[in-house]
Amino acid sequence: MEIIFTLIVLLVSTVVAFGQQKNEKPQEEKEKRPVKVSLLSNYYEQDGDRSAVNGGWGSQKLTSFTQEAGFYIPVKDSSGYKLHVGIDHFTAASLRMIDKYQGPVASGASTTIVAGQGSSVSEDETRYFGSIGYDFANKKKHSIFTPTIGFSKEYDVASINGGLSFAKYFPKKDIHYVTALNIIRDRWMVIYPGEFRPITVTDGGVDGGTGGSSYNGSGSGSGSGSGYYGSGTDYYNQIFTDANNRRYPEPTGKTVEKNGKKFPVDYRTSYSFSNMVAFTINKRMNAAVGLDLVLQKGLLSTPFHRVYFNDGVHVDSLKEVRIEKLPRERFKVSVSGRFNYFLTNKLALRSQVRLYADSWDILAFTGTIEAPYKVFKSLTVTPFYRFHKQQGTSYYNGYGRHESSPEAIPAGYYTSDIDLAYITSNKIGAALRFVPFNAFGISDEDDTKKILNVKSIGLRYAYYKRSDGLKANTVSFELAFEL
Amino acid sequence: MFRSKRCIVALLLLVTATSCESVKAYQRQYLKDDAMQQGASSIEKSENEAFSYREGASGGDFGKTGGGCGCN
Repeated sequence: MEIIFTLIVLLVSTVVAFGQQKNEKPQEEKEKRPVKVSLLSNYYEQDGDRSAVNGGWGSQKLTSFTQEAGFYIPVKDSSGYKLHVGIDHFTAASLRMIDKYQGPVASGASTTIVAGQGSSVSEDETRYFGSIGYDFANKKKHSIFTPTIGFSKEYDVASINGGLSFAKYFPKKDIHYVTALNIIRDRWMVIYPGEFRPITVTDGGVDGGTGGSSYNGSGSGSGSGSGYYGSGTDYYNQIFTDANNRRYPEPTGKTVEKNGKKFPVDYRTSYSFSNMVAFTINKRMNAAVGLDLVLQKGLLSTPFHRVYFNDGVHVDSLKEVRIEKLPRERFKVSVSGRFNYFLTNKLALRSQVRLYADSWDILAFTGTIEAPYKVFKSLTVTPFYRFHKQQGTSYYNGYGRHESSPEAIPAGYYTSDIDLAYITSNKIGAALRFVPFNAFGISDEDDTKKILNVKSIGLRYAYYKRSDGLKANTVSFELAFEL
Repeated sequence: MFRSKRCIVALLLLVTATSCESVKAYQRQYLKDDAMQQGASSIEKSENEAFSYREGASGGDFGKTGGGCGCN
């Protein structure tokens, strides 16, 4: 009897002791929020024959492989760091055409054309980008304030950006409001097509090159004879001044050196103000409306895009050619609406409409529809379709169609970049998303808890076709997990 | 081109303005689903970025609006 009583006491003591140990766990461990990680890979390929580098014709073959990683590191309460890094490696056939010619090209006059000896810009480029932000969350006020800074770097463009975003939830109305202000400053290394690059930049002015007269009066024009930039022609001034007679690009006086060569520098600044209000309609429907305002200033054309003119000349190397010239200011407005509806227990409908307008006379309509279907509780298949139609800018014309007289181009701007033209496009595809119902991932040595918990795996494919014949395929993969 | 689009927008506003009802926490199982997310997912944004370079329009879903790369 005594032995039995002793055993019972021992058993009860053991249970109580373990129970006390559980209750003595530190408060921080109970409330610890996991680190969230998202890994994204995207492969994109396209082909077309309206390359803007070649003035509106030529291969647009391009492949791009992007890897991105996003991290959310919680700090306290609902606050935390947001870190995003990525690398984008792309190959573009059109970049080879930047230096298809070297030496000045004159229309109709004697020429000194040399076939290109290789592009200053490799057709194989890599862009690095990243950003860091911090969520200042206020649980009582249901708000999050996030300052962010970031960068992007590729061969000819270096960017820095900064932004502020504010998100607020109104629980009584069940409304979410998000607003964000971003500023991006790009520094462009200005690479002109090969036939425009005998020009060298000197302090305070631009050398006119062989036989040329200096533009700002302080450069030195060496040599004699009449070249493309020789005195008596207005081509140099036509190319390098805009409709308001301002030097184009702006004479920053700065240069940057790359591979032993000096290139002039110009800047682009983009200001964006984005807003979205999201609200619940009923237990199966919600919607959102958004407004984006964007102002861009500075170099908005692409320095190595050509524009050929309608001069009756059929030999490409003798045709009148200029560098793409676009206004140094652009204001964009887009209004968007979203509507989501859970039709049945397994099928939902997601839709989005966007209306766009800008100061370059581009108007556009974009509509997207998706139908996520839950095959199983953890697996969703989503077919989707997107339609886009835009009225192009009045500055656009195709290869060899621009008229060069001042009367024909009253604004003084011209481009053969078909991305800015009248186009329609269709995109169709499907996505798979797997969300593990139970904990799925890598466990610790004792197999008591997950040290890596997979939250979702996504795969997405899209086929894109544009009215001018451009076709593209893209595949994206995402892995989201918690640590 | 935009006449029918204005109708769609107006219809949307009408539906939403007259039909909002408060939803209790225990009735939110559909609203909490990923399919009802009010915004593009990160995988969707990544895909859309590539196509935004091929068109003159941008904006919506807090995606790319211009600048930050050697693009339009």
